Amino acid sequence: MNALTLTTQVLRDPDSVAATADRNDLARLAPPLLALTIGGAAMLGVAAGASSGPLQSLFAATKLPLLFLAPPLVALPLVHAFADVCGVAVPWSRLGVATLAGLARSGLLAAAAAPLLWLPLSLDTEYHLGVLAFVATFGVVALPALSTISRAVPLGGQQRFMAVVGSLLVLGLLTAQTGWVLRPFVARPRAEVTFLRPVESDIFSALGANTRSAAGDYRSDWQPSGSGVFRERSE
Amino acid sequence: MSGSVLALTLAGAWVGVGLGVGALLARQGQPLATAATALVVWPALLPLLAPPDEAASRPAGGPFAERIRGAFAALRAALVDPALSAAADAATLDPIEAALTRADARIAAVDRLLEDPAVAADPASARLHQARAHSAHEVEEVLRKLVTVRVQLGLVALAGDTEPVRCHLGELAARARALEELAC
Amino acid sequence: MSNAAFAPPLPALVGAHPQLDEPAAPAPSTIPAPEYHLRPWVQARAVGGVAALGLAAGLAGQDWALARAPAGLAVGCGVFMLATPALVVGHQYLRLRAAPGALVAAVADAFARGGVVALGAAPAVLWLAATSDMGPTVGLLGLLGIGAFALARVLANLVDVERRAGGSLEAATGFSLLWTGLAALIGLRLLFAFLF
Repeated sequence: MNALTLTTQVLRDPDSVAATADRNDLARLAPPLLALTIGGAAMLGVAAGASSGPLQSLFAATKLPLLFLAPPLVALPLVHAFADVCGVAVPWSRLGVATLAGLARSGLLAAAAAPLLWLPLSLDTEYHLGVLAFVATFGVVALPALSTISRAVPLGGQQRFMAVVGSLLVLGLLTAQTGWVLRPFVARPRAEVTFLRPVESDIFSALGANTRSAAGDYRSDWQPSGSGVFRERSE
Repeated sequence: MSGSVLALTLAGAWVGVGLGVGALLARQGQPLATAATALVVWPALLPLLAPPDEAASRPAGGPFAERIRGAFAALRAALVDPALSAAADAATLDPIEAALTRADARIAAVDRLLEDPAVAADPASARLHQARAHSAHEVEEVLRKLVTVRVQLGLVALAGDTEPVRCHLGELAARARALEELAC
Repeated sequence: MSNAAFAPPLPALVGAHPQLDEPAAPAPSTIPAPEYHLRPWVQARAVGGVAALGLAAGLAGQDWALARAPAGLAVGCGVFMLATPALVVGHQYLRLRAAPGALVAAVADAFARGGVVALGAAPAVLWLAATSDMGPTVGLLGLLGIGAFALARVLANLVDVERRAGGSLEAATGFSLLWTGLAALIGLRLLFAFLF
């Protein structure tokens, strides 16, 4: 299967890539699927960082593939465990191919969405609106990956619905937090361009503050503070 | 453990495990691209480290499966006997058994096709029947000659003449290759 | 799929044995002890999974969280030790049909399934704990979710073993609901005692 055929199949019918996948398919398809994921995500990263210059584009293009790849890979054991305890036997190889195929599909959609994101950012959109636009774009292109992974779990078994919903919730949470850790993708105006910012607070409190700021509400005194392993310790 | 140390440890552990998985895949004979992919997506490639499922890789048994297994098991058991082990190398039986097993699987596949009334009613199915019968006859012939080889082994034990055994095994190997060519 | 590198898939239900399907209804004391297998690998995996979840939630340098990492394991073991005797005694006292071994196996099966989920969740919780303060919160929520799932599974298992033994489903469902509620209360009490 050449690259163009694989690309077409991933876009039109990713489930068929994973449906009968075995070890040999996993070994054969992993490199091209990874390449599609990284390439497409990098293109979206270039668009996201373009408003702050080429360096920010380069940084965002480097980090966005990590944002695509890390959450599903970290959540893979949990997805398999959910399916296992709900009585649905999904082979690891099939789950692996479905994950990579879903990511490749999202990567390709990200490449297609890159110009749509770049357009408003290139018009000096207000920073908070730009961040929300990036988050919305990422959410739209990432959803197909989640659906491909969930459809890799065969029908049947008890509480399959719970397994799928649980997996999607965890994937969403991990993706959101990973995005927060890897920020910035859209740089603040007049801010120094950095590869990573200090890890502060978490995605939920930051998103709420950002939304309020975008609505013009600067009254609440939310200040990010170090969290997780990066928090400041008082001696 | 301080924050930065833990973060570096986690990142280093990810890359380290990826390197290890990639190295194992490369040793397994996987393509270099697949092994390199493991550096980033090793959780998805862990199934490749598991030994392959032997039952799944064996073709589905056909009408001669039991007889083929029994015939080769008996012949291998005979060759284990110290008095007969010099007659032939048991490893020479492997390609013959493999060819017979594949032929048997093809016959089984044709049988499943012919179970469909639409296929059986098609005029071209007469030729399919003929080809199936020819393949089955060839498999039967090889199985019959395996019994002859075991008789020859008995003669080896008495007379010490290994030549007939080797000749028969060579003939069987040629017939097994012919079975493959029939399929092509 | 079953091989040395990956644990075998969990069977549909532990505790279903041919002896329990016999139509005759001998007294419980004459039912031969069921030949249920403890499946050491599966139980060890479950214990490891709950322990890994706790460690992941508390590993990010928060000492108080790390000290409470064994909470899940302590609660699971506590519920098993405190509530299971009540299950067996009450079951036999009410003259329900399932054998004691099958009951214990039903509870162990639910614990094993919860442990599998905990093991799968550990990498995700570790990642969240390392990058935010959400680790203990997510770990606790995960533990509560897994506990609820395990209790629901126990309820289904207990009704199933009674059904296979040819007993009354209504009585089994009612008793199992009561016992599951008791186990939940014990679990919550132990959890709060351990955490606060």
